[in-house]
Amino acid sequence: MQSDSDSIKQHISENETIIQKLNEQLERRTNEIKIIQSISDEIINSLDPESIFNRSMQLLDEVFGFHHSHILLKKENEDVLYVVACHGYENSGLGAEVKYGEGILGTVARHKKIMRVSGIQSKLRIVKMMTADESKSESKKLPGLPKVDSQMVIPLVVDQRLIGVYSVESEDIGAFKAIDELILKLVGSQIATAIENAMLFKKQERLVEAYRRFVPEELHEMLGKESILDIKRGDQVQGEYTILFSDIRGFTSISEQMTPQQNFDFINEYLGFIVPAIKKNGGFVDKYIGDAIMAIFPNKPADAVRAAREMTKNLAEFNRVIQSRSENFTQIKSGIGIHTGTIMAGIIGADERFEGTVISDAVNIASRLESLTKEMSCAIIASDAVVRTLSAEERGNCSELGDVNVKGKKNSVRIYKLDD
Amino acid sequence: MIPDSLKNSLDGAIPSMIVSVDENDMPNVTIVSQVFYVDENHVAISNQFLSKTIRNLTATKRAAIQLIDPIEIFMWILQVEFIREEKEGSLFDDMNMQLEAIASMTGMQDVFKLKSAFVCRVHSVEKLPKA
Repeated sequence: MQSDSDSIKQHISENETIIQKLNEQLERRTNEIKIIQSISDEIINSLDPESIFNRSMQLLDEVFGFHHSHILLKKENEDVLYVVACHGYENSGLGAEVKYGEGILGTVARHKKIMRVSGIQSKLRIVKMMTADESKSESKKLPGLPKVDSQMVIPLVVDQRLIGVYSVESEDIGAFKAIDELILKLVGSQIATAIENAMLFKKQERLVEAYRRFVPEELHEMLGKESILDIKRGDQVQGEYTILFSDIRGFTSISEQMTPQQNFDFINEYLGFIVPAIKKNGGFVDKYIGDAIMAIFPNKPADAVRAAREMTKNLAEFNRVIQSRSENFTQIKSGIGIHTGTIMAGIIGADERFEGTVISDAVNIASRLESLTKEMSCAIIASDAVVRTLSAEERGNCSELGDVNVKGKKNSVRIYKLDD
Repeated sequence: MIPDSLKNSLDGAIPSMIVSVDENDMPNVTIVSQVFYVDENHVAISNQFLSKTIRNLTATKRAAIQLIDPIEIFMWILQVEFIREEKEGSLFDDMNMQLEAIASMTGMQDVFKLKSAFVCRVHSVEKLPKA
């Protein structure tokens, strides 16, 4: 009886030890999962690729002791990886390339499967030992520790597409165990998604940026739309705006002496000098028509007048710069017409091609005033609608040129020459 | 059959030794870079150019494997029996990938090709006391 009860007691105590051990294990696992969860949360919430790279490598070092790590991304349209970030190395090796199939990194990329390799140095020695032809076994310099012995590499895969690889390595023998592989696998899929999202976001930002250059943001604002995504055909707005028209005089004859490439270079350089004055004074370019610029000033007509004077000044600077480069360059002159009136701005188009545009008599008048600058041999002409809103200071040296008729307009328009 | 504490020694951190015998009981000893864990009753060795070992295993089935624990540096002795050869599947792919990665580091990926995985049943596991 005594021995039976002793053996039961021993069993119970053994069981308790086992249960305690299991509980400890469970607690450790729970902690690990919590850490992985918090790493994932932090990484997945970032849209900046650089900070995803650096933060994930830093966290994996702090928490799991992965002291040396690399992130490589796949080049577009090429089976080549390149180093985008690294952690724990003296020499960064950023930009270093690895072809698919080269070393552990390249092998993981090719097979899209996680790999944990131990005893790399002894395995290399065995390979070399078995290779009769020593000259062939020339090691290629790949990014990483010179005497790496343990390495884990995980493919970063989104929708079965490889976007890169994540590598951790150590010079210690047997540094990574099966549990480390599991951790890296769990965090890796989060990192892959985070990188992909951040890359897409970056691309999206570039697209929006590019788009803005074609359709001005101010036009969305005039239409009361927050983004281009909200704009649809038929959206329109009507209001009192000032139109500025600017054109290079006799550009056709200048243009004939240049190659197409020279033409574009010339116009772009010219616009580079002239256009900043528009934005600076509260306007925006509605469209370019060859060398001509049509700009809208949604606020005060005085903004357009200020812009026009600054554009004339900038043109003088442009002439000076070009002349210093080529002596036989004849200085160019431009004319500017300004008119304020009721305009309708909106989105027109059919099928695939839409455009923001302005429909108004005011546009025709501004354009007509611009063409009159040549006859009147002056740089800036503004209509009465503009001039009567200007303060004495804003008018400056302003003289009346009389009334002119504009095609399609019943009443004539009184015009003024503004000093430049 | 294979305890958890043995798995570290199957990661290939330190090379292993295989002893096999031919039909006339002539022993042969070979170093292999890695003995692979298959499941709790099986391990696998790679058939690349261990011609003598492979020939012996095919003929007499039996072998002894010496593994070294990479952290504690003690030895395990496994008595195994060759039961089948695998030329495809996930075990073959994993082993092939390991071989390919190491070989490609020295530009020898065309020479070092895995022919097959030799899967062996583990009959006994003995842990030797530290020397």
